[in-house]
Order: sequence, then C-alpha cells, then structure tokens
Amino acid sequence: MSRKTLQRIAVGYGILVLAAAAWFWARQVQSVIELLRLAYG
Amino acid sequence: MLNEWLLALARWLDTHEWSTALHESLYMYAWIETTHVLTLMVFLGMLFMIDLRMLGLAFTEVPASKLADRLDRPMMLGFAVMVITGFLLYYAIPERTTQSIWFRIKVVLMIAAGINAFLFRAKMLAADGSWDEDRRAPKRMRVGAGLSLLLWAGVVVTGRSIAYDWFDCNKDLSYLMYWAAGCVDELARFE
Amino acid sequence: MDVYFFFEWLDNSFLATMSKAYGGVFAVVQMFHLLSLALLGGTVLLADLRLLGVMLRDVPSRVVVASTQRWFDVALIGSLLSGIFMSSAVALKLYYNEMFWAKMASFAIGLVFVYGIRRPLLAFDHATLSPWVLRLVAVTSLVIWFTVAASGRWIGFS
Repeated sequence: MSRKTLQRIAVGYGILVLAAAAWFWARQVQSVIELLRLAYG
Repeated sequence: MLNEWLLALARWLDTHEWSTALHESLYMYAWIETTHVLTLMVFLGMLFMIDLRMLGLAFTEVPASKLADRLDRPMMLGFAVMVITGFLLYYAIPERTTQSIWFRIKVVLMIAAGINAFLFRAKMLAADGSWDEDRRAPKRMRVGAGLSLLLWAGVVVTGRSIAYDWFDCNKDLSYLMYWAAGCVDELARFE
Repeated sequence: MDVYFFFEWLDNSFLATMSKAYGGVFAVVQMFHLLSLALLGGTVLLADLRLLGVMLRDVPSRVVVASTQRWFDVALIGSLLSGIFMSSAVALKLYYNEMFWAKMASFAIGLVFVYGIRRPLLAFDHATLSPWVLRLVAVTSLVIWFTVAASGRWIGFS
C-alpha cells in the first residue's frame, strides 16, 4: 500500500476508534453516576 | 511481639470510619484497585524495558545508562502511584492484610528488590558509562537485572494472591503457617 | 451470529476441567496474564509517548518502535494464551458479561490497528510521515490498549 493511502486509512480508523471510545467511556461514566444517585440520592 | 504490635496497628486503622467507608464503597475500592493494577504498565513496564536492555534483549542500539536515565522518571512516577494506591488498599482492609502470608512475602520481596535496585544503581554510576555502548551489560549487572525481573515478578504474584483466602487465619492451618502469617490468636491456642 | 456454542464448548473442554479443579493453577495463569499486561502496557506507552514527543526524545523513534514491537508480540501471545485459559474457568458467565464483550471488541480493534495499520505505517521513514498522523496513531493506540486493560479488569467487578 502506498504511504498516502495508508496514512488516510490510519486517520479514518483513528477517528472512528476515538469516537467509539468516547461513546463507550461516556456510557460507563453515565451508568456510574446513575447508580451513585440511586444509592446516595 | 512484632505480630502483636502490627495487629494492634491494623485494628486501630480498622476502627477508622474512612477505612470502613473505603471497604464498603460502591466504586472507590474497585477504582483504587484498578488504578493499582493498571499502573503496573507504567512502573513494571518501564522496569522491564530497562532490565531487558541490560540483558541485551531490547534497545541494544541505545546506551544503557541513557535508557535507564530517561525511563527513570516515568518509572518512579508509576511507583509513587502504586505505593499510594497500595497503601489505600491496605487501609481499607488492614487486619486481614496484616495477617496475610502473601502480603508478608510481598513486603519482604519488595525490600529485597529495593536493595537490589540500590546496589545496581550504585554500580552503574561507579562504572561511569564504561560499558554503555555494549550490547549486553557486564555479567554482574546482568545478574542484577535478572534478579530485578524475578523479584518484581514475585511481587506481582504474591500481590495478586492476597485476594485468595487459602491461607487466611480462620482456616485450619499448621503451626508454621499461623506463625508466618502472624495469626496471633490462633497461635495462642497452641500454647 | 450466536457464538454461545463456543462458550459451551470451552466450558466442557479439557482446559475448563483443569482451571476449575485447581484454583492454584488458575491463580498462576492469572499472574502470567498480569505480567503480560505490564509488559504490553510498557511497550505501548514507550512507543506512543515517543511518537508524541513526550519521552525518549533524544532516541530516534524508529529505534524505539523497533525495540518495543518484539516485546509487544511476546506480551500479546502471553496474555492471549493465559486469557483463553482464564476464560475457560468462567466461560458461561463471561458470555453474559457486558465488560467481557467490550474488552473483546476493543481487543479485536486493537489487533487490526496494530498489524493492519500501525506497523505497516511505521515501517516507512517516520520523517516522511505527517507528524499529525503519527500523533493520531499514538493517541489511538494508547486509547485502545487502555480500554482493553481497564475493561478487562472490570470484568471481575461487574
């Protein structure tokens, strides 16, 4: 694969991964907050 | 005598409200535990790379003392985090941890690893870069690096084992095990 | 696609018989998993922080990447083998554990990333690559492996 194509793929993949990770971790934080609210009001 | 004193200290810590709160917390204990484990990647990860360099198995193109110097700060940073989180984990469950045979072996191994690291550093500084460019460090240094790898691996192994209750004081154990774990009350029954 | 059959098979396998019967064996394997984690995390941190210009700035990034790759592979094999063994002890439980699937997903994403993108890309002369692409690659790698490790630890708590 050419350097240019590979760099483009890397950027696309990287952005997708970072977005997915942000969504995943935001969901975890949300569920923690929910449980803490339930427990301590 | 030492066992009684340590147990008294643990029981005193156990009366602290914060100790109980930490132990019974919904998330705090698990988070601290996770931080403790994940920081292994920083502390032990850097340590592994330095020791592997000494053994000629990684970063052979980089002068040994240069690598050790550059990785020293992140390694010590990781170590500081591990000490702090480690103390908090002890603080949350002081009595059982004090009487854990695994915890005791772990502390001994850490002291040994500390002495080893101190001697290693002193010898490396004394050599003043005379073997810096060599692929492998001199034999004595390699022994020190290998020892470091073994001792810290032992610390991880014993540390993980603290969670298992195989040799807790409330189990039916031999006199030797009670003695090693410092099970004061159980030992008294033998007399 | 339902993969429950795989977990059923694992639960009945020779590995499961061993991992369930001998708590000591399980514990020892778990320790290998932990040591692999330390090695894997260490190599990832070193290489990525070098690409970000945080650490080892006076060592060529090519050298750092080349030296860490080999040990990354060793750590990966170690954690994979020990991980499969550990899974066999609680296979049916894992199938219903959300964190386990989060870890497997991020692990698969990581494998594709490392061997399909990161390595082929870093095989080029780093000076000829865009510094922003290199930074993005480093951050992506850090995020992936942190997620694998953290969600992995959380399997036990959830």
